[in-house]
Amino acid sequence: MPSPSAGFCAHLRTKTAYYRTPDGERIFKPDESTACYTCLKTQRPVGPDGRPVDAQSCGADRGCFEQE
Amino acid sequence: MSRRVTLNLGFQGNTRDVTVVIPDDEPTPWQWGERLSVVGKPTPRVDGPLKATGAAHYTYDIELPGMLYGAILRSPRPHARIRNIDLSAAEHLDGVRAVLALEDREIRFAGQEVAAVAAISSDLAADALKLIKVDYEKMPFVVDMDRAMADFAPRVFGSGSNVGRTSTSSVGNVARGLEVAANTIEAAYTTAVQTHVCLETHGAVASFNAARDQLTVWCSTQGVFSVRDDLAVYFSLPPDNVRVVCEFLGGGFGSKFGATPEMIVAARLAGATGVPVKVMLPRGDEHRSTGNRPNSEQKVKLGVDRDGKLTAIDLVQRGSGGIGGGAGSAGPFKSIYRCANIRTEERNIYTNAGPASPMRAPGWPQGCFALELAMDEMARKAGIDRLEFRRRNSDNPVRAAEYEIGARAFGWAEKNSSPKSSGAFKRGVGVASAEWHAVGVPGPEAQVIAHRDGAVEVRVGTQDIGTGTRTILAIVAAEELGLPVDRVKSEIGDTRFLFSVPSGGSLSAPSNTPAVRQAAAHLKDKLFRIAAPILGAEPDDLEASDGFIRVRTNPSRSLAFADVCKRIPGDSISAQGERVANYEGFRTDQAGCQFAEVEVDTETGIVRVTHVVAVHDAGRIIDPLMARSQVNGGILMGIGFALFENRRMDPMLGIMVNPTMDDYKLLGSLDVPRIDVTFFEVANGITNTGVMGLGEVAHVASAAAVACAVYDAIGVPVRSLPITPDRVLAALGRA
Repeated sequence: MPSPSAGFCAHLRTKTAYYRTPDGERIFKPDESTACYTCLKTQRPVGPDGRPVDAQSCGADRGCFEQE
Repeated sequence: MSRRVTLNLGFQGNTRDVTVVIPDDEPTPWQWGERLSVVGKPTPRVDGPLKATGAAHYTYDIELPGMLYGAILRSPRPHARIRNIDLSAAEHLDGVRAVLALEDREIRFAGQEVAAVAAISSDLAADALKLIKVDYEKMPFVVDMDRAMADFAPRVFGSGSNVGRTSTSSVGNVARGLEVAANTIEAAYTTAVQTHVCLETHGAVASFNAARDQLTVWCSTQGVFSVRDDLAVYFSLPPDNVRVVCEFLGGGFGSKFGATPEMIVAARLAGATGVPVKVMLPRGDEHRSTGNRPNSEQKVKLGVDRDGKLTAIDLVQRGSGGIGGGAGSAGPFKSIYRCANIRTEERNIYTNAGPASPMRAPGWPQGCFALELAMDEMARKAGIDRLEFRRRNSDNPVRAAEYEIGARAFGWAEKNSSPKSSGAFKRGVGVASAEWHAVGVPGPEAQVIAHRDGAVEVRVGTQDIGTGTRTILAIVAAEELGLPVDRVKSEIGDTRFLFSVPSGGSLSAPSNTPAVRQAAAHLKDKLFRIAAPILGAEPDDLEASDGFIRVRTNPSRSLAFADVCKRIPGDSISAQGERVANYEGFRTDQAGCQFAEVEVDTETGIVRVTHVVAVHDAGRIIDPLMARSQVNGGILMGIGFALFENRRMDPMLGIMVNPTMDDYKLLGSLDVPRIDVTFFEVANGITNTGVMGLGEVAHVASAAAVACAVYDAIGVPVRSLPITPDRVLAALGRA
């Protein structure tokens, strides 16, 4: 199910997140197995902390996380 | 305010009335059988002459006064820690204006960005890269998916496992479905990594103003607004201070959505030097670093009952997106065929290889290949005609109609029963089913302008990834305004225009055409208000057609569209339109099927595709020429995936060994078969144009149909893509 962007890192990127819900939120689909995630800070699928990025792991527990 | 309208929707022989609520100012959606004047007629690409003569300006063609040329140093090592970078020699080279060490100190794939330079020529920039001294601390690496899963494998990400999260789905009881089956099959299928090979490589030209608070970027992108927003965040600028332009784009296929490394590098170098900087990637970097379709290994079990109905579909899959994720392929297993018991399990495996990125129907060509070849293996085992087997297991009425159309056009009955052999050459046929859901999204806005000279201009902040966006937007505006297409000009590819969404997910046509139609309708209302007093009628009594605005009940009372425009009080008159949310409509899915015929040389193992028939539905087809071109492209890309494309990694060095157009095998002109495309029109009423996207659905089934045809030709399934001569010979026991 699509999730609104609240709670996701402001630098997390994936194809669907370039589209928005009718409420203006970026669209994330954490369960989507074909989603390719990147971090805008590195432009790669790796965060500034050296760990992989995706909708499930880029949370507030990571030092590089920035709230949208 | 809104209104209720009842629409007759559906397809030939299957229509029904559907009532939808639409905004008052929204044009009534086109219905089944509605006759239109320019929509649906073959219209040549409006920018074709510009492209054919070289007048179209791509990012590569952008040259600005004082511009510098940037280049990126990439790691030759697949896994390393950078102990030190010495930039001094590069900085002192005459003609070099800036040198940057990029921040990431850990390298995870060969091709990762390490440093960048800007110089007065591209040759000098390349020379400067050679002067940068990087002290790498080598680290163990793994580029092979199987080895990456081993307990002792080098870790791509520190101490974390190379085996990513498992994604599962389940309906019914697969174990029970297999238990009750009259026939079962079990087989493993693999597909190779397919790299992005856009003819225009990734690149950008970036320019800051003197105050460094206004950034303009010309770039090769699928989303001018998404790049704008990314750059605004990255450089902490208000979005309005960033302008992104992409007048023409030489292919994207999913790899050019947002701000990519070379865009950031170009902008950083421009900021550092105070002059524009251009960075266009060389072909090798494109193969190594800009994205790919992940590989896959798919273990499939199918069960069918005595009636040839599927009782179980089971997929255990893994794939590697290199240092990235997104390697799933279960989509087709979950939805193309009806089955009460379906289970899928997908795992992404990390390796020290270039990252995956979205690529034309992500995951679906891989999954469709495995599913459809398994379907053929099951049909053979159960003794059922392959097309009939698919008919029995598909409950989609659109696809059912398409099977019949395709089978007739292809000559399935004759070809499927004719002898396979002609000496060493064996012929075979295959069929595969597609699916997609390209209904489009709200968000885009459009502006349509009528000038005093009668010319009309459409402006939308979308971009054309090569599919003919300019043309279809002009057609839709022309239809609404009752004009020939050549009176309408489309301006796109600039964030100075009204917002639009990225061109991906087959969303451009279904997202943008409704906004243009609404804007054109609003403009028409304004022109009717100008014309009405002259014609002695009320605006509501007027219609626009054939270049005239006339009284509906008395067509002899009319004014030429251009004459109405002469009465515009200013220089022009314009109106805006927005893409509103989708209506319920008729269906939101797309079916589609493709038939392929191949000829296999059993002495050399070479496969040649001789004929493909494609039947697709995409709602209302705006321009059959453009649409056919898209389907052709999807099929050709699918044949390349089926027979040729394969990123080869050296397991000892951890590098890609075929990052050139010579060594990375693509389909060539002599490999192009006869292609026949039929569009099956479905009036869906989801938007005011009813258009659906075609880019991805036209690609989903192509490789699968070819693989099924090869199986039919040689009697042995080749379960790994690409189906190279050595694999064919091995399947025949002649390797």
